[in-house]
Amino acid sequence: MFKNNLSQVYAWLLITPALILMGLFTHIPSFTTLISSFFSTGTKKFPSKFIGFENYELALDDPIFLEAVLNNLWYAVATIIPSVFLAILMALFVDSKIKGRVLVRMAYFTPTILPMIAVSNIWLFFYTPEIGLIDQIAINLGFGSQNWLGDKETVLNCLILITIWKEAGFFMIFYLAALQNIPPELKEAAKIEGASKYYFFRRITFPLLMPITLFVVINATLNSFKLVDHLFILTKGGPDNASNLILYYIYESAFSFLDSSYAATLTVILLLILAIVSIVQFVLFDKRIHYR
Amino acid sequence: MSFIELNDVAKYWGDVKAVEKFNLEIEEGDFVVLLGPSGCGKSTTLRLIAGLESVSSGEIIIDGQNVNNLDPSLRNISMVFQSYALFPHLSVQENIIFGLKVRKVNKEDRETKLASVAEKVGLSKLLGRKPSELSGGQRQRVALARAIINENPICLMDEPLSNLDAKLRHQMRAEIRSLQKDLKITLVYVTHDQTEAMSMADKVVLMNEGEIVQQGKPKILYEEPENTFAAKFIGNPPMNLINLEFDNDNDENFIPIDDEKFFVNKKYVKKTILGIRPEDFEISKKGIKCKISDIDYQGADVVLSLKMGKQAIYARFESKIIDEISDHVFLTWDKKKSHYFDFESGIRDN
Repeated sequence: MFKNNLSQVYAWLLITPALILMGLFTHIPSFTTLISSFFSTGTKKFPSKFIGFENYELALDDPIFLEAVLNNLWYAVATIIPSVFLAILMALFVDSKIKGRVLVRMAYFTPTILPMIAVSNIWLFFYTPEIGLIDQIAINLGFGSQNWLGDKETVLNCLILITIWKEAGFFMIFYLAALQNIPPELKEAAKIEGASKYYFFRRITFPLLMPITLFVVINATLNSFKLVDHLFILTKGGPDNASNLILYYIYESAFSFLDSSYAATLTVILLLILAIVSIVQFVLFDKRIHYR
Repeated sequence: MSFIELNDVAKYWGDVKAVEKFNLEIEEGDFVVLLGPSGCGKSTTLRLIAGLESVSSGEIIIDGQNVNNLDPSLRNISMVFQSYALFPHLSVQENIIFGLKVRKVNKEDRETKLASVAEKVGLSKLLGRKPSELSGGQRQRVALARAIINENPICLMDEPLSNLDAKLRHQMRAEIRSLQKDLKITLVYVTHDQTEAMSMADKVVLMNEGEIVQQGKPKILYEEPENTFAAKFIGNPPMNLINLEFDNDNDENFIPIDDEKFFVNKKYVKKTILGIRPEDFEISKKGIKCKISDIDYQGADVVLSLKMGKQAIYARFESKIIDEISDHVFLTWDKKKSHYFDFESGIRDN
């Protein structure tokens, strides 16, 4: 009995540091966010008071927020699918026996190492009208100048392109590791049976990569809602909110408009969206995954 | 013309020799075993026949056709890998019919063949399982089933039994052998286990350092090893190789026993190696006195580790002698069962 108690104490002691950190920086803030979303933002004249779901009603009627949500959904879909696709292609390429593959691997991985702020500055130089790289080439080829980041039609897709460029190399590393875990005999066995490269990929390689794909897709989804650093440098959500994303709007609400309870409300909504998306992905993938 | 021919085949990895001067003929329906220590090039040879590697020089002919540049899938072969190479996410059934699906065999034919093959290898009740839910022996059967379902005339096996326990290995040997005879497959089988080779093969090809040392029926390899390598590799315990000294005065070879000379042969006029199989020794008062250093009791037999002069040898007897021996025995042997090898080259010389 005594011994059992002691091991209980040890167990608690061992998880305490993690528990404290998680509590201080994750669970308590989440909880207080949830609480404050039900209160109004206090000022000197009007102290904070309980207002129930009023903030939520406000959010659902807020055209800027709704636009940010729609933007973000498109942003997620349009970054995840191409970057996963590219990551697999690049991984297959650098997994094959090509000359200088170490260099190629490094080149593919470089965008991942760069901080998003630096990346934004690089791409700002590409996108700048008339003197930017893209426009210089376009003008020399006889096309007109285009304000890539200043045009409501193009701005979001320009940001999407940057994100794909940055993330695909990161995801490639996971796929590469997984590919190298597939025993080469499988390929040989299939080769003897006469399976083409494409057939082998479709029936063997891709299914065996499914656990990685789940991991990557969930990460990419979270990133597409989390990663807004480039907005600060490139567009600040403009023009006319055409590139506004949820997290950036939350930041603006809290620190530019100083409406912290409204920001808390939007945060809770964002958490809900992410939780639902993740659960759906797990359930969808789970049936198709073979874990070794 | 033989069914499979390898003519002067060589394979190099850069400057490193894997296989060289390889000449082999395999008749249709034969069970041929490539035998040798690890790193001797036997697996490489098999992969050359399969087409998973390409030859550096020489030619490989299958059924009259030079297949040097032919894709593996067009060589009419199937292959069983040491690791089985089963697709982990596919069921037993899908693993077995993988090749049929690749070749777009229609569903009815697939089902008929699957049923008959599964019956043959005893997997009928396990078709829905994943490889991870099978035992080692069952996985081995899946690999076998996948190899025979295509009804290719040639099957290549790369150490297929090395991951199984001793009892199962024994059983699978017999099963593979009977499947091969049953389906009249030409089987090329790689192993480092000489017992496996001797018990299964119609023809054993013994290899060392990328070259063929000796090929022939198991009986020939056992009874007439062409050199000391073959003599030492085959047999358990291996053949005793006793270094003989040459006596210039008597023109005769002898075994030095302490200060005495035990003369054995007048035929050779230079230093020679005498080979005797452990079971060819007899106990006799007239023989050479050998000190017993260890007794290895094996049930029906007993293997004695002995010192003949300064040289260590093994002798195998029926285990009933164990009660009659003390710390030494006197050994003789039938002169007709002596093997002689040249001391320098190790080549057979009688």
